[in-house]
Amino acid sequence: MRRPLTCPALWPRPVIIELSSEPPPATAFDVVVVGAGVAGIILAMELLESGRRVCLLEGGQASYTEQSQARYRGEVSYPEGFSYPALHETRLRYLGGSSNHWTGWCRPLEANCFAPREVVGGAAWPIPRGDLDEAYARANEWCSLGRPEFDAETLAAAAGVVLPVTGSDALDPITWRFSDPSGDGPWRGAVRFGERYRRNLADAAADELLVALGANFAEFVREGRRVTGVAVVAEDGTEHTFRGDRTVLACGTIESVRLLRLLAAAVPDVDRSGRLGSGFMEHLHVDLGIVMADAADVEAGAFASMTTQQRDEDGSPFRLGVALTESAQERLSLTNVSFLLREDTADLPLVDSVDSVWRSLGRSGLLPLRLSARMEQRPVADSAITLDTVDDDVRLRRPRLAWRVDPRDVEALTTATALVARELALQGVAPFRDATVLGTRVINAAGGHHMGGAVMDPDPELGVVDVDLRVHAFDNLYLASAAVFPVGGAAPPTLTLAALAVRLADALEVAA
Amino acid sequence: MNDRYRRHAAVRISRRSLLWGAGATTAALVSGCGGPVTPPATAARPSASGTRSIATAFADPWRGMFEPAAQPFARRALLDAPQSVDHARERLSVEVTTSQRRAVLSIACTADLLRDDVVVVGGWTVPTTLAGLLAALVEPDADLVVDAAPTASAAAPTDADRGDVLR
Repeated sequence: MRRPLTCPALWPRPVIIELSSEPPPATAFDVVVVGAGVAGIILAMELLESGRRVCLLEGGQASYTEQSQARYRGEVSYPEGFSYPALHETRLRYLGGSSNHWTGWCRPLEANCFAPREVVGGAAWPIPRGDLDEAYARANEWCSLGRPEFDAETLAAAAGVVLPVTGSDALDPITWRFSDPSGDGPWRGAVRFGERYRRNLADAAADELLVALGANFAEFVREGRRVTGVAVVAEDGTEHTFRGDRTVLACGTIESVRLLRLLAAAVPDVDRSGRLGSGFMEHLHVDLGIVMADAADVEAGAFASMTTQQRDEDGSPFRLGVALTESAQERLSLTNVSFLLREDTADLPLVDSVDSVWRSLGRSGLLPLRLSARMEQRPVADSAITLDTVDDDVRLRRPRLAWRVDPRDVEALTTATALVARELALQGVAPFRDATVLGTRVINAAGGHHMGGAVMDPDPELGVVDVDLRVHAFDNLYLASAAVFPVGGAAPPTLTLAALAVRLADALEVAA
Repeated sequence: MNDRYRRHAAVRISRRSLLWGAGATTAALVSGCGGPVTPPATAARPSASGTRSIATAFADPWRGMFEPAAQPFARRALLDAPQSVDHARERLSVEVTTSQRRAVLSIACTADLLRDDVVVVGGWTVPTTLAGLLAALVEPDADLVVDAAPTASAAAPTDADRGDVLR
């Protein structure tokens, strides 16, 4: 184990330490951040830039260990007909957090999530979408997405590709950008925040930043409505306390709710709204079926931009897809759904004859494409994160996740499938083969897009944190986590989480 | 699919030997979903079981358009969506030259999609007009017969039947 050097006169103290029996420096920090994943690292770096003294606590080590990862185990239940991975498989517990296994798909949250919609029971983000504009632009940089441009038409023109849909009142073309660690491609996987920013963290001045690894959360140290520090347990069992003017809980959704539930056991006001842990959401990942597309369209036409990654003028990768328009959602009582196409090699009945029909119609032959959807889940009160009755090996109650889905979401998938199949057919796609006919439609949550459970609302009777992400029950405890999402849209949550971290850093700077 | 075709979807389908001679066209395959008015050139002899003819002469202009390899899908269309022939007849009973065929068919199929007029053939969702046209073009050696189990509503002649084939 690397020990912190202790001769400041000759060797400055390392910024990144592995916590052990050797006591960490007794520095008082401006901000203590719990969790060194995407949100925690961005927050720490942003606060450093504004001159704050920051302590970043990470329960895991610099790289993966079985012992640390086992602390993410927990009980999961889900409805019949669905699937859900084990809790310790959907997230990672070491420096960089779950960015160590994400695929880097990024898109800002849909605009309609910022206004009440009947289909989600009137739920909405309680801030204007414009409040996140600047934060999104900076989050774009942290995630290495290239220029902050998501307009599909602009990007299609820049790359010289055809839009997947035009003139449809049901589908809009949309863009995903990809977190690209190389910057100038080819795309080789998403930014691992721990690897990418470790050097930046290590290069900070020792009196401005401390990153403590192996710092297993034990409890918040409190004085009335203030959190004055965070007590942790090192791997060797020694206990340490890090003190700060403000504390930010920047863990993933499940872990954040878990720690807040532990806090609520001592301070019931944390759950004054009665909504702590409730309304956990995922994105429904569904294979909808197979569409047969004209080979020419796949190679160079309307579907080339959907099936293959494109390059923006700055070399950054992006991909086009389609999503339900707001008017279609309102007309059909649907939530946000985005669709993507992938080339497929399925062995399908009658496919040669279908191909012959289309060749007879003057087309250049057909290629099978798999159509899949990412659908916004309606918030369900009993979809919840609670605490188990057993502890992990550092004496914290394990989490228990009961993922639930509104039956209307399943019905909506059928409606959305029929709609998109028709619209794609109108754009030039040939026959569609429904996955329910194929017997392959599986609704799962393979993305591990954990959201909700500690939602943002200005009213402490309705939410756990306010619009500045401050926990209502405390004056100086904040939450930088997707747990605050009141609704999840269909966009992958990481970019929005990163934007929230940037926005919180700004708010803490003003409040300092 | 509109209500009219949903009604007809209940027609029972079975495989049998053809009840008539080789001179009968595919059009003579029978279903319970059309009216009795058919032009002599395309009429099938009714079987003893009370099956009915469906007029398919309207499809003749399109007969040379499809490759032989299209036949398996066409036969499946006849099995899965025999009612689609009526629909295709309504949409395609127009004067059409060889060079116009694809455009006319494309317009009809697009209109189907806009109205959600689609049928499922062998698991594939396709515009009803296309399925109906293919079903009407099944080759005569196809070992298929569609039994009629006509309901009162299905037996009533439709405007499309009365208009029938224009050539």
